[in-house]
Amino acid sequence: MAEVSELLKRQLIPRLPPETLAKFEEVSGLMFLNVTMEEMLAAGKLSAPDPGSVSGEQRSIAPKNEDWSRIFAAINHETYHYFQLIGTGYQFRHVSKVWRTLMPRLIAHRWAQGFRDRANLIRLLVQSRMLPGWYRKAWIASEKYRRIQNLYARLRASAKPDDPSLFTALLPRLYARLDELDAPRRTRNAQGLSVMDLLEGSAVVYQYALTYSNQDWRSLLENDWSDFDDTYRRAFDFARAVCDRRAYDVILPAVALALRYERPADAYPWFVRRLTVVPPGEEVAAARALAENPSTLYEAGRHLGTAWDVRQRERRFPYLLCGNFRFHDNIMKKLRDRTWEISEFDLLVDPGASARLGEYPRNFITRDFPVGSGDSVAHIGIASILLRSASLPLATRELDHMIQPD
Amino acid sequence: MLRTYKTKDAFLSAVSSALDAQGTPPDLRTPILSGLASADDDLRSENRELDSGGLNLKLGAWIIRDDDLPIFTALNTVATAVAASLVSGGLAWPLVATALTGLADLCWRAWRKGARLSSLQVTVYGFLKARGPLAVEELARLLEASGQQVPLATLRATLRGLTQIDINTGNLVALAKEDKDHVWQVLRI
Repeated sequence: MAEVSELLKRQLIPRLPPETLAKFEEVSGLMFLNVTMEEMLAAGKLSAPDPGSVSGEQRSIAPKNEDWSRIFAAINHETYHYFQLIGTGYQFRHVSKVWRTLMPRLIAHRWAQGFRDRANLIRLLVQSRMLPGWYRKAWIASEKYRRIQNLYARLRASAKPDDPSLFTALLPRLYARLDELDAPRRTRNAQGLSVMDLLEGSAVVYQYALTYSNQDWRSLLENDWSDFDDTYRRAFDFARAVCDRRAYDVILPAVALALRYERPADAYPWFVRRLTVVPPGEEVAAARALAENPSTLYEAGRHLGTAWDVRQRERRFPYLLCGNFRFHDNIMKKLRDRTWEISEFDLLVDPGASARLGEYPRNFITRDFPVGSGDSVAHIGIASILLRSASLPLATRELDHMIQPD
Repeated sequence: MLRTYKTKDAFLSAVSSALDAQGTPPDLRTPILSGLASADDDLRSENRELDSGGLNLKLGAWIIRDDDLPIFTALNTVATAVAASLVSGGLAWPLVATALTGLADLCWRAWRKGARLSSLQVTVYGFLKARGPLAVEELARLLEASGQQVPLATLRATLRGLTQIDINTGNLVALAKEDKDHVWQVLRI
């Protein structure tokens, strides 16, 4: 249904509220930035000519302008989520489950839709065979539009009143299953911590450590914690309660290790305490040793290992039947083989390591990104489905305007 | 480009400067700022985004984006026009100030939820809030008296546009509605 695709294409990029700087969609690996392309380019111009903006070996761009640095910090924050995906067993396993839930249902839906479209076209061709040629084409097109209008009307009737998403109305069972998969990440444990707290809290610390690496980033962040909601603060607050200001050095390795277990929020307190007893400055080395010789933590469930470990296990039956999540195989293999002399663990615990990464996926999408065709549309389409960006009321209005312009 | 502010006072001071740059007189600026402040308080206490998946980076700080500048220009224009209209109608200044506060509250609330209103839409919305409910002809007369001649057809189209405004959540919301007597009134979102 080419017309529906055209309508949806305009709605692929999610509209973020003003206070949201960026959003990372894990399956597609795309980062949606709440800035325009022009603003991104302006930020580049501001920072690029300044030789002081490249900070030694870490090569992080640190623009002098505080407001622009927020954008760079947001990019670094979302990039860290990408590293968590390609580096940790928990995140990779979660995203892989989402993929295996999504794809069979989408493929089945698309096949069924394609079959219905063909059957409908044949019906229209038969019904219109007596019509004059000049009128026939227009009649068939209008009948197709009417069919989509009817579909939208049915979806509106069945949609939840507070949910404008086109896809949740179209595939309610798929989204119920996706919500089920996501629920454990948001559930808080006895210590009041959830996996989301760990993911977000560590990403905040990382964004400051990288963006302001040539400044006293700890003091800057200390001053800015009040800018962040509880989800971004809980993991750090927990670490601070255990080890005070050393929390800045403990949180990244502790979260990186915890995300190798089945229940990271239950593993995290143990690693925070474990890394607090090592001499200051040796947290990363101690964490590396713990990563190489993983402990059995009964309270945290099974040890999953790295993302690549999980990927390897998925090569086996019965996972092969479902189609594996392979988007990031290339970069994960290179990290496994130490192609750039860094491991996935380095990416998570050492902000400077990202500069040695030989390749990044093409993953920045600005607000005004031109959605064209080909590969980018497929990726953006997947992100859009998972972020529920296409709106049923907007699609209905656009279709109505196409049929009956003002 | 976005600017962030650690406190509400710093945010309001920046808005005040933006209004100042538009030439907004101080007696109009104060009620506008008060309207913006009250709308912003409400917006911050609401859950502004549906939990739609993905990993967000949300800031708790106060933010002004370049995209917000048109609303300050529009607010300045509409506040000046509405104040002149109300004062010439014999309304006491405290009541005029209250009307301007309500108008700014309504406009900022809609804008921040993603309603990208044109300057004319803000003017019409503002006049309806301050002087409404109004019939189209009456509204056209009031706009003309304040120095803005808007053809009736344009005005009708603008009002129709206000009944279906898309916002960030993907919903279409009505900022105005017409009753059976063809009288228009504003709706708060």
